[in-house]
Amino acid sequence: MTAQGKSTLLREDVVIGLVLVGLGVAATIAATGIAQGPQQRTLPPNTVPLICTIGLLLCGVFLTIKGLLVPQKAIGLPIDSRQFSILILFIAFFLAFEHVDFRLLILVFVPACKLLMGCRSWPQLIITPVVTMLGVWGFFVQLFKVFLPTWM
Amino acid sequence: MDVITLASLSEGFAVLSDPWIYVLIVFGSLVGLVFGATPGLTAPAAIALILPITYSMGIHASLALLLGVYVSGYFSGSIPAILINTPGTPGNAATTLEGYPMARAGRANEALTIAVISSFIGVAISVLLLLTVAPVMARMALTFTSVEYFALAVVGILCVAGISQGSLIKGLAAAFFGILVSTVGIDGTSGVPRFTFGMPELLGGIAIIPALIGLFAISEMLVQSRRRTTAVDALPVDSGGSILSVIGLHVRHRWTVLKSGLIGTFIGLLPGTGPAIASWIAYGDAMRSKQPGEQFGKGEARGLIACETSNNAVIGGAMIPLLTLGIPGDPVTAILIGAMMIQGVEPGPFFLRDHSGLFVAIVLMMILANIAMVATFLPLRRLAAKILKVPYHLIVPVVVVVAATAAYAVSYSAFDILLLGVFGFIGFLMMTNGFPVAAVVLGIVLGPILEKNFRNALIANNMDVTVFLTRPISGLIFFLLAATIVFMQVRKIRTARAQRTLTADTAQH
Amino acid sequence: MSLTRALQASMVLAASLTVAGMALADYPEKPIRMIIPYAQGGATDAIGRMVADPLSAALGVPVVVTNQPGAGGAVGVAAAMAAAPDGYTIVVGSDSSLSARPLMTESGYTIDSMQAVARAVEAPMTFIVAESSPINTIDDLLTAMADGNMVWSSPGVGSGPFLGAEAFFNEKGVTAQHVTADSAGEAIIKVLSGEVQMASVVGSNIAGMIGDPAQPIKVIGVASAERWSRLPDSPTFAEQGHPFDRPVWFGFVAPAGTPPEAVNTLSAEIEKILTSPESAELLATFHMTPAYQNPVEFAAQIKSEAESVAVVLQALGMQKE
Repeated sequence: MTAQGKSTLLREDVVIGLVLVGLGVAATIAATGIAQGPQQRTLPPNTVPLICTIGLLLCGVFLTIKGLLVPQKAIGLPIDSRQFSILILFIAFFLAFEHVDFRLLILVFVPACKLLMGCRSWPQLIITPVVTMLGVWGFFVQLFKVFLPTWM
Repeated sequence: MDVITLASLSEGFAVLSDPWIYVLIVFGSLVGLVFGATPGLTAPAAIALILPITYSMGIHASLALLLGVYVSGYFSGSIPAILINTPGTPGNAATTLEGYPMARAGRANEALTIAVISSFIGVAISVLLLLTVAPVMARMALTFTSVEYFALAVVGILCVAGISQGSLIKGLAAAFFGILVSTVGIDGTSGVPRFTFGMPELLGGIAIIPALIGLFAISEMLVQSRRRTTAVDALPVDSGGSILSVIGLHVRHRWTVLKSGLIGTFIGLLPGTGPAIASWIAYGDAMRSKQPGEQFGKGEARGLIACETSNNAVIGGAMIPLLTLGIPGDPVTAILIGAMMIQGVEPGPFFLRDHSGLFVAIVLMMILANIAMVATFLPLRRLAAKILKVPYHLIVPVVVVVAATAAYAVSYSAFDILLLGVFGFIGFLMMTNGFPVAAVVLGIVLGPILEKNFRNALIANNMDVTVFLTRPISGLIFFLLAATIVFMQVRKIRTARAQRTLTADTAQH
Repeated sequence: MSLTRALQASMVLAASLTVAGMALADYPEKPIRMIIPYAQGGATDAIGRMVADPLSAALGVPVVVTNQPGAGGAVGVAAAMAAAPDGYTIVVGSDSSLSARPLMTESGYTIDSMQAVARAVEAPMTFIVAESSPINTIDDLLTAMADGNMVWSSPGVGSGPFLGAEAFFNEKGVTAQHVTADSAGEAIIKVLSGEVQMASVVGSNIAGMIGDPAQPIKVIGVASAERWSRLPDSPTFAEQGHPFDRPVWFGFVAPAGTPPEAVNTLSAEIEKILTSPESAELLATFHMTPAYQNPVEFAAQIKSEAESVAVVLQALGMQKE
């Protein structure tokens, strides 16, 4: 296969289309596993899910074919290193939310996020988290009686 | 109209005697202004974030706040659209075509004033229609069966075509994904669990608010956290564009104003469609009636008026199916349903009869919110540009903290926060690859309405599929739909052609 | 402000909060979480909140209401059953979510995962038709159902009124086509629009509508042993020669293993609240009747209900494998 051929497979629509095909196939398999439920005079419970999964699959096939036929740029990396590190930070934040005192969590998360995004100003790194924490505490907890996770 | 009696009028006006209502409307306007003006934060996101806060308020206070956000949030997306060529919300994408060239020509202040006045008129037209159409619609709705609801939902889902600006295939894929997401949980018709993978948290389905905040806000925060090579600069706001001259401009273009208002209201009335499609249609319409001397794409005020009038007219239109059928007319009203249910008010065919006083109050509060929007924005015109200069390292962490807290506050569920993250990542992947996120939301909101009513209609009519064409209202809807698709197809090709020439023109500057 | 100052400030804050939390006493010593597994605004939500406020006043700790709707109450019940059995989590359950749901799907709990606390309120299942309908009695209904094509509705597959109606149909050996609705209100609209011939709902949903010309519906049967106080003019099933007693009830349960002292304290307080005049007034607006049962009686009720519903589910093919 020539270099030209390789880049055909890396074209944007080809890659996205193939991902959709994969998703469609996986979802179709999952949809066929849905129980049929009680005997009733109507469409079985997996009809609409199957329409959607097969629809996804066909969209993927169509995009792939379009990508193969029409020359276009190769797909770029969807995420840069900063976004990736911030994504990891988000995930950690969401996972920790229920288990960590919200005041502590905000005081750690906000400056970490700012640092990753290139903020190097000390006053900002301190003021933003404290103000955010007090804002969430005042607004949600005090004003609107939302019970956020606390350790004490 | 017999449903709106003198008693309900006085009940509605009595609501306005509470000074808190005014405070909340103005506060809501400010929140909407900030959210709309921040690229990536949209009116639906603002409403979703603020919703849990309204739980402990009464119905009037809650709606005052939410309507305040709703009205000004749809307008304020035009601020960054005009100043930095970045639509604050998808509904303001068309605004950039005329607004930004105006700003570049040193007419930013005029453009902003036009946007706010047009938005004001758009809301006013649509509220007037809401007042007259809603009572008729409510009476009709009592004869609606699953067949008619299904037909209406089909109209809604087809609007995916309007949301998919880039690629229709990607729009379709996004809508299919949205409907698929809506099928998770126990199937209402058979009682069978679907796609729950043994997780009890999924039995009730994917909670819409965490999914929505994830798709709109979290995803945008991920997009915005990328490394930047160029700094975003806002243009200085000049002093031109007096309010009087802008009002004069609207009087001169009254037919464009009226037509755009009607288009916006009608699009809002259709379930699942929003300001994005309304503004494109109105803009396309204004462009087709081009007068000699008008320069579309180079800062033509009439184009700006068309976009902004129509996208705010969506508000009153969207309230009609919400209040009379219990079907949301756009993404914000989808959340408003929840806000009203929380207060013990069920929107639907009985709403006008049981809560006619509240209906009057809603109309009055929308008018007040409309006034508050203009009143808070005009003095802040100069400040508005500053919002655009807030660094992203400040916006991103604060928005993520508030989003997670808001999602948690809805039902105190850690699982909802995980959903927030999952949908945030899905939304991010979609945005970076040209999939319209709004189409997923359309699918999530309309999916259950489509599926349930389709299957119910078949049960009730002995599996006879022709019932969708033989029942008069549904038959008419499907006929009009077929006609519209042909018409839209023609128009879409024309608009696309016009847009291409425009973007080619602007690119040369 | 320097970093050290900020740290010091937050430590002082932390210390003061710890001291507050250490003032221990007997049960209850911290906020009690009450999960309402339905959306805010409905009758169930109102009843939960009606109990929460006086309960908080009586026990001297906050009772925090959290709404976790989904799957007819199963999601919230599952969340409560997964909580620590320390007496600080209770949940509102119904005949449907407590007795029937665990038999229908993998819901994350069974009857054995719960500790009954107190049954609170009930209202009978009621069959309604449009006022213009030729169906006036249960006998008319059974005649109309003879060919198996009658279309009816209820507030959801697996809900109390759905299971009750199916149990009745099963007993009479008839079948019908079910069109699902998301709420009782939607089921009533389906009756009014003529989409369905009959709807099975909880009596409390329609007690306020009878006689309202804007909502022309009529009751053909109330599934209670005697005439129900909220609908004194509507005949019971029994009066028409088809004895069928089917209350839909709501009550409080906690995770299994909750200390008996906590269960008894809560149950006794809930009983007091239900018999207060304020509650009577509130319940009247929701057309519910107080129906307190102590933990032992309530546990027996949940169990017997599960046994009777199992037969129906089996007949419908809705039992989980």
